Amino acid sequence: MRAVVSGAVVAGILIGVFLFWNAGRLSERELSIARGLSLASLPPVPPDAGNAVADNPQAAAFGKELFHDTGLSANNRISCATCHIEDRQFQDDRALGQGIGTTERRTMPLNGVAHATWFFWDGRKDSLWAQAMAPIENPAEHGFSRSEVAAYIAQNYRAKYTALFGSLPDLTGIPPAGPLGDAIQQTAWERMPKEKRQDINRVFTNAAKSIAAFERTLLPVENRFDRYIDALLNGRKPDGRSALNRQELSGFRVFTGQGRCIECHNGPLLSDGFFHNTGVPERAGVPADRGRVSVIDTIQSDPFGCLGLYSDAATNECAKLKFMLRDKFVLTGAFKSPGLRGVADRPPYMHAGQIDTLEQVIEHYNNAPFTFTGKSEIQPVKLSFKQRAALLAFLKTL
Amino acid sequence: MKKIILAFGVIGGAVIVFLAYAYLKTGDGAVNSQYAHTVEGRFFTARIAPENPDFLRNTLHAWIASISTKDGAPVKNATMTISGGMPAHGHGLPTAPQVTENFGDGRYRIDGVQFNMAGKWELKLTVTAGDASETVTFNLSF
Repeated sequence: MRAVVSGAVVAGILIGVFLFWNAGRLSERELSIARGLSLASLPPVPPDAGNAVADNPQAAAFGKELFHDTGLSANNRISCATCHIEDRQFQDDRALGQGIGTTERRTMPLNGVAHATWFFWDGRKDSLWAQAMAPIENPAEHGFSRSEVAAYIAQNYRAKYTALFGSLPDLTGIPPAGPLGDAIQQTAWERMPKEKRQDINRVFTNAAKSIAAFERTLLPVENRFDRYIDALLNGRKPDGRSALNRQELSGFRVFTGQGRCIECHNGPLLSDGFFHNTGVPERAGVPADRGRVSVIDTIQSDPFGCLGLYSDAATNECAKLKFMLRDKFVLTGAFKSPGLRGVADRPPYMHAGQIDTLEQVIEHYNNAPFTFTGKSEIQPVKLSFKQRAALLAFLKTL
Repeated sequence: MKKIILAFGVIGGAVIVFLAYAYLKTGDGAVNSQYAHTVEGRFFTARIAPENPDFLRNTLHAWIASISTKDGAPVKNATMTISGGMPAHGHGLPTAPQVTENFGDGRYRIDGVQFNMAGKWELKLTVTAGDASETVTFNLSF
């Protein structure tokens, strides 16, 4: 009997040592999963067939100026960079974007944005250039009208514009006008001849395509997790700046295992780019927001979409519009999975900044509360206190 | 003394088996089945293969479906609807794939397929030809 006991003790110690040693390193299979989440698996920026100047450096330089130009706003004080702040991961740390007024959603960061398929939290735009147009005309953001954009370009950027896109239309005597402006601007827009409206749309579109060309140069930033995986893949021992400790590795296992985070937060940007209802609570004071379902009937007919007059893409290059999911049940209350790079450094969270801290986000997924609209996809993942702490530690490495 | 040696031997053996199991369990790579799959249905035999076997995860791509009757004759006039998803995660496909071409010899191009995460997926074809209609389910793994 004593022999069995002593044998068991020795075996127990051996197993314990093995498990401890094993927990501090990634298995081959784990490394393969980890590689998929790191910059090592980032593909080149995908082409944008709808934007003829997408990869034109001259357009990117022009777009960079426009991105920072507060002249493209009704009060002369708002630019894209007002909410997309460069040294804050191109976001603004606020629950709701703050332009001329207050928006109804959280500002999204822009690093790696050109890898997205759909733009905005509800994916209502199918290209980066079409996305870039919307805030300029939104009364709560830049509050500018598209005729004013065209006039401003003609006045301030004539040489740069014409070098890229050819001559500017004659815009003398054009009043502030646009379909999304106030009543006076809308009336002025409706009264304008169709050709004039198209001329203005064309200038507005080209400006936005230049902004998109600039935004395509905003690449994801290397994080500690990337350095760790890079060291392992290249047979180097991770040093201080790239090491992950046992708790962080344990958090990686929660992320990819029981926590089920990787189901939506996958790939090198830690987003599947798709729309999910995860039962996130509504934000008080903001109109009910049902996300993707509210836009699926209008995306395909968007004049600035891939199939529209101002897109440079051929019809067969608009496959994502052709095959987009339109299931209203699945897409009710669904929002785009945000990428998680740099996530610990940019509270608050969710599409309207409803959740203040990352700890509370983990609590949300741990408990999977009842959803206010549609059907939540998530089930409680039932993580222990230790697992939640590890997951948080891992998220901080991203 | 013999008993002690025997006990060490048995437990040591168990430890070695455990270690070997732990290694094998973590050592296997992701299963990849981007090749042709065949499913025998009640009325039809359906075979699917990716048009380009090197398609990337989370990218739109096409599959070629070959439909034949149970006695091997190609079904040239089938209509098909496509559904599927990840049963373990309770969600469907992220896109709405469609048949975009009938090659006329029992082969059809299904375009607009996209798998937005690694794991086990189902692709279901509901095939209708003449009076016969059935849904065949392919179990894929990426």
